[in-house]
Amino acid sequence: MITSILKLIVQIIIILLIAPIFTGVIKVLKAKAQHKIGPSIFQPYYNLIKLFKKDLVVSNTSSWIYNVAPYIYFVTSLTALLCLPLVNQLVGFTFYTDLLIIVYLFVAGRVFMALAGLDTGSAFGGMGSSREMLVSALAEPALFIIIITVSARTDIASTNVSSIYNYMVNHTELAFTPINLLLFVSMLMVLIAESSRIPVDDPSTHLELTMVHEAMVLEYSGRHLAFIELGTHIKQLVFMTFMANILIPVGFNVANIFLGFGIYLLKIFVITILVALVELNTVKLRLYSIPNFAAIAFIVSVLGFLTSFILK
Amino acid sequence: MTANNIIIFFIICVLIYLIGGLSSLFTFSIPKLSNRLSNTCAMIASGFLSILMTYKLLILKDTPLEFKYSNNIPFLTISFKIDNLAAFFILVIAIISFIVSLFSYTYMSHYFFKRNISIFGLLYNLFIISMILLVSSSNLLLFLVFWEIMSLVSYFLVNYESEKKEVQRASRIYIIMTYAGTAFITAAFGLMAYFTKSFSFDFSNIANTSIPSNYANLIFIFLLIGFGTKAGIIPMHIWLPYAHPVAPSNISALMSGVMIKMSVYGLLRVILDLLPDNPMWWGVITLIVGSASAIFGIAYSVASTINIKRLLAYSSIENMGLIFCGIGMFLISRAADNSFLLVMALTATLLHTLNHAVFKSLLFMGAGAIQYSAHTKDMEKLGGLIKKMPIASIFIFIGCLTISAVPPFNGFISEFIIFQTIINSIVWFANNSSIIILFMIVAAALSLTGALVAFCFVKMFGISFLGMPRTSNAENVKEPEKPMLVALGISSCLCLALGIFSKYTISIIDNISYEFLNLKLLSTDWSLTKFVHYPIGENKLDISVGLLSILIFVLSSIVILIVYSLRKRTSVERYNTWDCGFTKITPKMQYSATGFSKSIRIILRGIFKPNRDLVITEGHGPYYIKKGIYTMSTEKVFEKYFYVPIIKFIINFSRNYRFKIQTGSIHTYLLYFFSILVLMLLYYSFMA
Repeated sequence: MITSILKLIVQIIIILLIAPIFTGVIKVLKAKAQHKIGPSIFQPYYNLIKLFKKDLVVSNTSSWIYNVAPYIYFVTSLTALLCLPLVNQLVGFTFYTDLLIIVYLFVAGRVFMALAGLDTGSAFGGMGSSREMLVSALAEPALFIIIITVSARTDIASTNVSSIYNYMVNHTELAFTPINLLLFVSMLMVLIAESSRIPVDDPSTHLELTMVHEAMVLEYSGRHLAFIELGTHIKQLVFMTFMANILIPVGFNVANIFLGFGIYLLKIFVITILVALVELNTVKLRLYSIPNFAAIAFIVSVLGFLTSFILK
Repeated sequence: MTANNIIIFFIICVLIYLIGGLSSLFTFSIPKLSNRLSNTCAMIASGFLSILMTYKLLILKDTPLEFKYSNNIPFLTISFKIDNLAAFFILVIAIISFIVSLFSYTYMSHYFFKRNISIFGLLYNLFIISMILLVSSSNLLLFLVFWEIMSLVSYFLVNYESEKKEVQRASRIYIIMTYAGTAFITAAFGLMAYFTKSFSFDFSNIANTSIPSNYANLIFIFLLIGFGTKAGIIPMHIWLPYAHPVAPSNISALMSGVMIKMSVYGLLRVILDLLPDNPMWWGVITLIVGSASAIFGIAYSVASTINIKRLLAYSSIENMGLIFCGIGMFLISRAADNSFLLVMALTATLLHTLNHAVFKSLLFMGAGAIQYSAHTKDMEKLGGLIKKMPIASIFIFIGCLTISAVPPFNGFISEFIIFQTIINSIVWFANNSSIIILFMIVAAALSLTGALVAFCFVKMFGISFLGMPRTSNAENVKEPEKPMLVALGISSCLCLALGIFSKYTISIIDNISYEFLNLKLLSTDWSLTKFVHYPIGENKLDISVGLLSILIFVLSSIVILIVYSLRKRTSVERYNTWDCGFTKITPKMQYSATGFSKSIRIILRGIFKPNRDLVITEGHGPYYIKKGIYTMSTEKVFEKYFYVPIIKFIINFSRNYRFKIQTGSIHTYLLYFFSILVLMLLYYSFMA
């Protein structure tokens, strides 16, 4: 009991430490590819620290939901990541959880954020909320099919995280099958949609035509915004961890914790590069093209699902 | 308490309901007293009944309660039997009607001296009695009688504000659809009675006689149509979005929370008791129909509603769709003889029945509270209610979270088990490719449904409770009276409790599964100390809502502590919402419900065919509009392409043949009599 709580605390600290860096890495990679100098990879940390120090401006129109939403968003994202172990040795809470719970936790965070967007009475907020709910609704079927395929591949048809890990760890050769490749591609698209990345949403602009997530949180400032940004970094890491540990479980069960952690970071880094590449080579889609994007993600996941029955 | 005592208490409860109804009728001159009497009696009886049924489910789980009253009416033995399944449904009815009666205490006050409260009190109590006796009757004919009473009484209740045009229309559609459904149920019951040879309608007698498979198929289809109509399953749903919004809110809470579940009970009763075998395609059809209802229901709800109660009505269609998906999976797994899936699907069905009853009645009562104090059901006229009615809004907010399947509330747990059943089915049917693909499509449809539910309720709560008040109606809203608040509070506490302690509900449902299938879902022993974590069926479904909620709670409190300690270093300034440098944001600039859901309408324009129309009433040309009328409408696909052609056909047919059949000459009528006589004689000489 005590050790698992300790492990949980260690895991939380690690997550809080490493989550923002990958956003930084993406920014740096993009800048370098465009022959710009770019910010430091620690820029997200500086931003967070700055935001924590700033005063808050809260809208007169808003209610308690507006004040609570950032914390709920942050806590649900964090809990979602705690449902997936980063390294084999660090499994505190993980083994009582379920992959589907992650989806529902995201629903919780999203509902609060979307309501907060509507709470200020600004048209930007409402627009952002509407779009955010739309994008995530469209990405949801693909995510579910991925989870179903992953759990259907384990022998006992479980979405329980521990069963999936046990199975995956003993069958690392599955990592390089077409099934996992298809799931990986689909999950990458879901990641892009859910963590507001470029073809779907542009996190760095403030134009009403392009904004989705940013429009929703436009009214936030200070530590509220800091918690939202931290939550978004963590949410992005959840999808990356899912891809790294469940879809490519290679090296997950090495005995040395530091080696295991190194392998994990390496895998996440590779995924980060992939995300950056996608961002570099595409442009922001118009809102009504996002269904096509989501449909492709869905079709790819369905192909993965069907392949898993052909190649069994 | 023995079984006999419980039966006596049960009869006493029914009598209390009756007394409530009658005393309310006889005090018609004092509406306040009349309302008090009817609701107090209903509350006492419901509270007492829910205790009785809990006792029955937990302690007397192996002995069904039976009693008979012999009489001289042919074919109709008045016999009642309460087994675990019936007790479970009675429990649902009793809990919901307890809360709703508490709510009605003050809710009905805005009808005082405008409408006849005493008739309402009578009908209200009769409505509850009819449902309770319907569930407990162990005789198909008796079942039909109470079914009919329930339908008729609910028709009068829907038609309560009968001078309004929309109410008349809604209740007319409701009664027509109800009778169409009842016709199918009667036909199915008649067929079943025919094959038992003896005219006894007792459940146990029918189970022993086998029904030829062709006829069993017919019976099932009839039942699916009949019960599906009451449940609001697509395409028989059309009455529901009309009837629920116009009924008084306490009645919509009862109708949506409980009455439409009676069809689930009927269907389950028949397929568990009377049709013990079934081919695979029964389940496939039910599953397809269920998931179609789920996705269409919520799509309509998201895209085309600004009326809160209509939104909730469409969402009921969606939830009934989920429940029918559960029944479908049950039938499929029964055809395939998989016991684990069977019990899981049954648990999912029953659990969602209970959960939906709780949260949907909460939401309908919430809508009633809004209507009570804002005098409107239109979301576009609300806004900012969260400041005017802070406590009620918290409860309604909990309802919205629950229906969006946010853990740890109860909506999450039943949806979770439905998904688990799908996943396990996919693995079990690994060799049957068509079933796998079906299940995959269903899973995708249900996941999209789940996401759209969240969309829908963000729209509902966000537009009507948050932001600035859009009209003076919303500005002058007050917190509803205490009984209403308490009713909402009890419901929302139930939402939380049934989520965190869902293990207990599952173990109660296990008694039902055990009764019919000799199987249980919870495989291990459990005790009070281990409530947080329960492995279901050989660790397949290892979740711990309790642990999860504890973790979320601890993390949130840590975050709050940190924020609290940081609080002094930074200041918080309240200021207007950023207005892009203009003077001030007005309520009109806020996002509206129509605008919020526009993206969905555009994406699903293939189905909805949205029409937008801007008529410029003042101004010069399309670029300088001073005043205009903007209307938006979506197409009601099922009405336009399914019902309207049927109605047209019937009307034309009757127009054309009216004079050919009903000529008005006595000779033709005599010919009819004569030919029927000949036909009957022929039948008796050859068939009998």
